[in-house]
Amino acid sequence: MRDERSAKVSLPLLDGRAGPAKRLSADALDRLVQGALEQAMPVSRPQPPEPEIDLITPVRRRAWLIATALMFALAATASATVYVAGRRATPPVPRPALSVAPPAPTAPVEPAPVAPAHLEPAPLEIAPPSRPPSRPPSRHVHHRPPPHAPVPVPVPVPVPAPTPVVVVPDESEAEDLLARANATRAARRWSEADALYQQAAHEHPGTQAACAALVASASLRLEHLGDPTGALRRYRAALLLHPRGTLSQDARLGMAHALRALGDPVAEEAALRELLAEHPDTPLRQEVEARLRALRATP
Amino acid sequence: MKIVRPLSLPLPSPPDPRIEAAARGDRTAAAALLREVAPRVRNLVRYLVRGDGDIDDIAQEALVSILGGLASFRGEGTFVSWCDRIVARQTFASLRRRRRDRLELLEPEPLAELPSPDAAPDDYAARRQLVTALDHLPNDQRHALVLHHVMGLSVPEIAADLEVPVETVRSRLRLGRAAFRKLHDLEDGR
Repeated sequence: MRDERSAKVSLPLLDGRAGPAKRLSADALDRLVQGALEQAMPVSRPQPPEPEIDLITPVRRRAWLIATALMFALAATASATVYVAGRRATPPVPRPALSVAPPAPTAPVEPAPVAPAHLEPAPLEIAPPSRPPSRPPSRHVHHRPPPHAPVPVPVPVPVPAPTPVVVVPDESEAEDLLARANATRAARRWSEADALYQQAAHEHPGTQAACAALVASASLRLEHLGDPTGALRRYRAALLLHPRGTLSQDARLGMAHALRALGDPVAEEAALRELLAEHPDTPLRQEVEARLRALRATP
Repeated sequence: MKIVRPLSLPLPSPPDPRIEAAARGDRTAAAALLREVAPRVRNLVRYLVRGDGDIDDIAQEALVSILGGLASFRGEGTFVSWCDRIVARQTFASLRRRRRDRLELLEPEPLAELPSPDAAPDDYAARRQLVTALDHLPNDQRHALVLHHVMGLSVPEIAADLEVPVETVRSRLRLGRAAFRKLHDLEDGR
């Protein structure tokens, strides 16, 4: 690729042949195209009914949204026998053999166990406006001091420093995005739902909602958008946010599924071992160990 | 009066009816167009982006941008060249956004050797190795090299696209070529 005469740099022509991007199967390429079409030319569908969440208090609503995203993520990472039955029209892509009979949610469908500070906004402490202390009324209000008498100079009273105001990030926008994403996913508009999950994660980084959005987006990419690489990246991002949080087991299991889809048995085995090490009481132990035995048996 | 066309100029090709149909909202035409350009789009994104992690995300965003901009395609130049410009712009925008969000978690691939001139022709492997070498250049040099040597843009065009002065582009090309040749010299054992 080097022209000795002109010492120029020669790079291969740009075309549609294989490389330098990694090869993609015809199915995966088709899914990429369909995803772009759905975003650019969405087909109008009847809107699903709005979920009845107005009666739920803000605290329980937030937990409900996160738990709903978690349930989608759990359902997506369960085995084909549970998840695929009656929900797909097209043959599934190679799926993990881990079978989980109705998956026991790793988090109960009640308020997510997060620190209370995340559920209730901290009371804002606003210092009252500082005012100079009022002077005692003079007995000689209307008395004019003699011309040569010294003019009394008020002694400055130190003003207390204002109390620092703690600004709590408003998580209602993240909740709204999660709600819209969940509803869009329920309507099987995968690319739209994924875009909303990504928006939630980007606009509210570091929050519990962002973690749920990352895991939900990852499972959606793995199951419906043919993007195990993107799924793997999102699972890893979720674990970086909360390595031992509510969704950490789902993220680790999802990573193993993504690595299997990517055809990396060594990394898949490492991910499964890490899952067992970090979650020794996991209800998936038997299935995970069975998969590990199968990996070891494969030459 | 007979118009004599220089032999070096190609005859203008008839406009692709799918472009106009897709611009009007024809999903079948749009799908056919996207299937045709998608491999090229992915390749260009990979030229511009370090690592394989974000390629399909950014490629899909670029495909959406192509569809969204179809109405503005006036037939000046080829459709694929027009697509290339859109892909490059969308890739830079996506990179700026991702840099803020810091979602890059995949480790960069280790430096691969440049293909030996004596190696058996394996186009795919050779391209993969070349782009892995590009992964070790700074982004600004890499982008300048790709825009100039892959997309064929002139220095003023690159300056306009990247919104930097012309001299900056020339400097990045000089430095990028030197760095790329150094990698090549290492391969040759010099």
